Amino acid sequence: MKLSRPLAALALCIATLAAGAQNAELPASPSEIKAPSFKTFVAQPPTRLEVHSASGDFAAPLLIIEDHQLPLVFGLLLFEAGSLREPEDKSGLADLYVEGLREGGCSEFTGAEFNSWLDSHAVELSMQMTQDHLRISFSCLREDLEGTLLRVGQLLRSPAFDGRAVEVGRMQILNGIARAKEDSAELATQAMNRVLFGNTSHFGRSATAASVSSIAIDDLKKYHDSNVGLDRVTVGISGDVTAAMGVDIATQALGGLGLVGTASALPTPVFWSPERTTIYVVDRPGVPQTELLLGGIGVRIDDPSHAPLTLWSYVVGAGGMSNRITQRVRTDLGLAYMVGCGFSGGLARPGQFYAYCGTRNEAVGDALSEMLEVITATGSEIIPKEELNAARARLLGSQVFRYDSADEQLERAMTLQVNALPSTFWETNLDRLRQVTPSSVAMAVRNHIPPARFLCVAVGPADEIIPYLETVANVVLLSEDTPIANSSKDAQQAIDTMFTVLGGKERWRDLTSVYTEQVAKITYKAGTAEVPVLQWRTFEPLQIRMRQRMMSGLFFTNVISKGEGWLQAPSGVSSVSADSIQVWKTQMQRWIYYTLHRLAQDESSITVSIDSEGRIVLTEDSGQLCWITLDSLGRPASMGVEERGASKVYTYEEWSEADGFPYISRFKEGENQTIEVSKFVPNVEIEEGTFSL
Amino acid sequence: MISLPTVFIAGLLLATTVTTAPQSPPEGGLEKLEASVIEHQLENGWTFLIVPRAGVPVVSFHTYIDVGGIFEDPGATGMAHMFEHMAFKGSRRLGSKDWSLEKRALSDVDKAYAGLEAVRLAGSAGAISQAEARFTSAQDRAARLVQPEAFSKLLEEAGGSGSLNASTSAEETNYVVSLPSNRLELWCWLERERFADPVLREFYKERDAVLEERRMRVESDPFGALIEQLLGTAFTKHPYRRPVIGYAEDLTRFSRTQAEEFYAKNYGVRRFTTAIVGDVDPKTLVPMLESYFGDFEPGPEPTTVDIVEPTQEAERRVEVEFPAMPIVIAAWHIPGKSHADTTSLEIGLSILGQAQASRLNESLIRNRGLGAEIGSFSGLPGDRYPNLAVVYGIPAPGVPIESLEAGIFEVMTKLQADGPTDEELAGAKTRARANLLRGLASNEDLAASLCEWKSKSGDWHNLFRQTEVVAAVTAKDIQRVFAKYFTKDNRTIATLVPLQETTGGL
Repeated sequence: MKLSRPLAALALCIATLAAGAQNAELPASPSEIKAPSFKTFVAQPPTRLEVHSASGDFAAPLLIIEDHQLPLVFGLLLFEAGSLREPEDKSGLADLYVEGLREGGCSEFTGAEFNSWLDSHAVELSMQMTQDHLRISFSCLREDLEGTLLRVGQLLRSPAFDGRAVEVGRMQILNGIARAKEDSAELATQAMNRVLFGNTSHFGRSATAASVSSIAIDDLKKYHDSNVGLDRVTVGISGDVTAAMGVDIATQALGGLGLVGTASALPTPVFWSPERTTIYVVDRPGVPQTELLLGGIGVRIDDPSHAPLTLWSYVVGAGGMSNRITQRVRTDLGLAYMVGCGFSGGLARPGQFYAYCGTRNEAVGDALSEMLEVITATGSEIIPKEELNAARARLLGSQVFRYDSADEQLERAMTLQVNALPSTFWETNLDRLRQVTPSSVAMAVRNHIPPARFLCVAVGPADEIIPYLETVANVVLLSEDTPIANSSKDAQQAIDTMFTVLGGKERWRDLTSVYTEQVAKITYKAGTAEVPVLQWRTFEPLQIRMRQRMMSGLFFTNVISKGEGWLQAPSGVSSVSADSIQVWKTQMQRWIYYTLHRLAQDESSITVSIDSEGRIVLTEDSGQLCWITLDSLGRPASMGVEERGASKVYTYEEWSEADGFPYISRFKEGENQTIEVSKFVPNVEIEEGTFSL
Repeated sequence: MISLPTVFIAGLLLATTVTTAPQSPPEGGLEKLEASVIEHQLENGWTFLIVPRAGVPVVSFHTYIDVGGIFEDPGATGMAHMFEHMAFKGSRRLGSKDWSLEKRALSDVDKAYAGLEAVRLAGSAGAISQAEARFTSAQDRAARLVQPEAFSKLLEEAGGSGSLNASTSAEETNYVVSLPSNRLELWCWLERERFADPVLREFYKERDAVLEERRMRVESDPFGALIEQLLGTAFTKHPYRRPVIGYAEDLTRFSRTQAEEFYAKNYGVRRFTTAIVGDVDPKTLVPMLESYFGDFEPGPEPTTVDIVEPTQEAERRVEVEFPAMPIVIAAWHIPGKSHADTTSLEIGLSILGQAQASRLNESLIRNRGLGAEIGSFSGLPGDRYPNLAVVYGIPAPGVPIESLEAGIFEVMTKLQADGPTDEELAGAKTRARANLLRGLASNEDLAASLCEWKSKSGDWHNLFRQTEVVAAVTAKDIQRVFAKYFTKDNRTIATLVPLQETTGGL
């Protein structure tokens, strides 16, 4: 057989090669290949140990995975710190802290001495700040583990934050800020964060020359003293080390770290979804290609929609070349080299949906239209089962590569540890992906990928691209002064949008009574219980009748009406104390439906604003009433209230409709109650005597 | 002790369950690893390097072909890279809804494109418009006969979605994927289809995608734009002067027929080295390789580039105007990888600009505040032939680029005059050893290293000999090679000059 030909026969070459390529002894198609069964693989679990403090009264978790093939060791320290814990007016502090820590030396050695030691021992040391963690990782030769970790420990115990080193770091960060303007992808990401989360949100802000210049060395020290201690770290070591050696060295190196106390709670991101698709243009003159970035809300990894949405993203734009956006925009039309979509994050908080494409300036309208069309088409169809299974195969088939080295296994184990997730978490997540159906994808897409309300950023020469983009959607040229929708002055606009999504203000203004049937699933230390509840409520006046079957099987009924209250127990009827009536009244006032009813009435006693986390805050003269976040469709996603001196968060997981009236069909109250609402009747007729016992 | 985290791979029948550490236990370190490499060359010249690694049931495949941009014909720059893209488009029996119809449709596309090119040279606007319409129509007809992404789909659904990739450099093309180890025969089947029977379908749309890649990597990227001009200035004859991605003028002109010619001329299997590293049994693998690849013809005799770059007689400079902040790159001609001076140069460049406390970092960033980023490397744009050693720098805000440039030369002159300290030299050698070890850790990296050393040095064992070669380098060697190569006459300076005040951003 001839598989190559002289140039003289080029015209026949391909055909001849092809004829020879079909060897009769080999399978004619891949389907004829009998692949052996896969060796089911069980990842090596880490050895779980502890790093004890010098005083012995505290211990930090230490995970070790031994792998002795090569004389190398990988180490990872994750401190619960992160850029989200930098002060509001000090954007860039976390990055400058890392530079100062890494280069600034300590009481035992200077930064230059530290670098020389690392160089001479071939240690690769990396310090980075993620949103949630200070991440210190290193790779070293086996014999240098002790020297490396001891020095890292010394640096962490007594960082000097040498002034000269800090200034060099500051200069490099300022250079990076300036250089970011030459990187379309970076510019697009910054702009997307800004429009998606708002100027004032931790998630929307970017470091500026001014904010970085304002950071003092004392700020770095304060950040260190507040966030970097033994009680905030999880330590991991993998490679050519024994567990005994690892714990010994880690204890020597890190046991002397002080304790800094519990980490402050991190803000929750609030995403913005415009009323109609809006394209924010960032001007980058003189480049021939425009970077397009679509963005929107994602979901937490434990959200029931996470698995369907993940699989959907593999159908639409992730996991290689076999997806719809790549097929359409790149293969069919040749409009892009890099194009795709996916979800980021999702472990600590809802992640982010993104879709991206780089295309020539004159094609930017076509490329964006095609992307939007591919994405929105999936919202109105049931994805064929075969296509979904193919996406599932791509996603699940490559999972084994997340475990093919000791370092990766350690990273996975550390992720579970720092997020307090069970050891079965990854497996459970895979099971969820296996169970995704076309209909569950359709429902998740309908709930989370709002059609015609996309947020888009385009980075390119504004003069050239705006005319093309204006044929696709509303265009806003973004500059430092451009008002962002998700800012405090637009809180009322957010509420107006919310009511539009919820069917208009009028229906909520006219809502005066509600009847619900629901089951509260309550988790206790000892187990779980289900409590069926029937509720009748009126808003004017505020009244409630609640009948519930307790775990004992006995029924209790509460009635609160016009300043009086009664409890009907199996033993008889009794009056409710004045204090309890007040508690009930407060709860009734902060019920989401009553809050929406009041907002719809445009009550002048309520003022609305958006806080630094992008949440809509409702305030009365007496103080904060509550805060509300909205989901990607603009519906309430959560509400936070103060109850009896403590914060309580209601998370609205699922919305449904009853005769066209939207209601929350599943929500969480705090951490341990999930309420499933099976019946919701707005403006129900209340029978006489309902609010008396 | 908490329960073990188990990871079950989806959709696969249960067979043997293996509880395992990620890699094999220690028994002899590097020597054992070297001894485990099996070289098997087929009669046709295709070399396979097999490394069984017990543990996680996965395998990495790396096919390295001694074909890159330097083998392209004038006027067809970017063709090697273009063919790399086309090598994912399937074969007659993979990717076509009806090959007999598609074959005719592709022939129509070729004719329509030839017609379009002809009228572009001499036709009227109306004739060009008509020819474009015929070309578009022919492409549409051919596209309707394509099964989209059939080749990639099979590998991605078999577990390769995170690793399936390819790359092209000035002198080589690499095709890589990692799969669960039970997919070994599928890889063989597909690799055979890819190289025995490639069908270059969807060529012109993919060419448009490559143009977008060029816009991204070169025309919108300050470093990309500067490097292209640097190579075009430093090399006057050798094909290293041409961009691997191709000039835009060539990318908009070359044809599907030319790509088929490039394949026939250059893709003989004597230029192929494939490394297979992971959970494999050579006893079953080798016969499989013989079955799938043994009947390939050797193909054309591998060619080399005979063009010798003339000695540079005087410093050259090139300025690139670009809407970005300043960058300076200084480059010196140095010999190819097989030359005796190469290791001394690499160690010297490591001391100069590749370490945390490198001479350039310490002097120009930390002490004098002239630079924001500085580094050094060699092997631009390849290293098989005499190539470039490079020092690049980004000035600190407000620092004139001339000051940084002068600072770089001062540091180099001092290193040449004084030589490295014992500590610097020892550290550079230790880093070389550690980097070697790190490069052996993963299946993918080991496969890549074995291929490269086999192809470029003729013997993959040289990979494991590197620590000995590095150990022999002395401070005097470094002084000598610095004096020999880092001269003013031998250097080319490329600077990026801001076109205008950067106004973009937020």
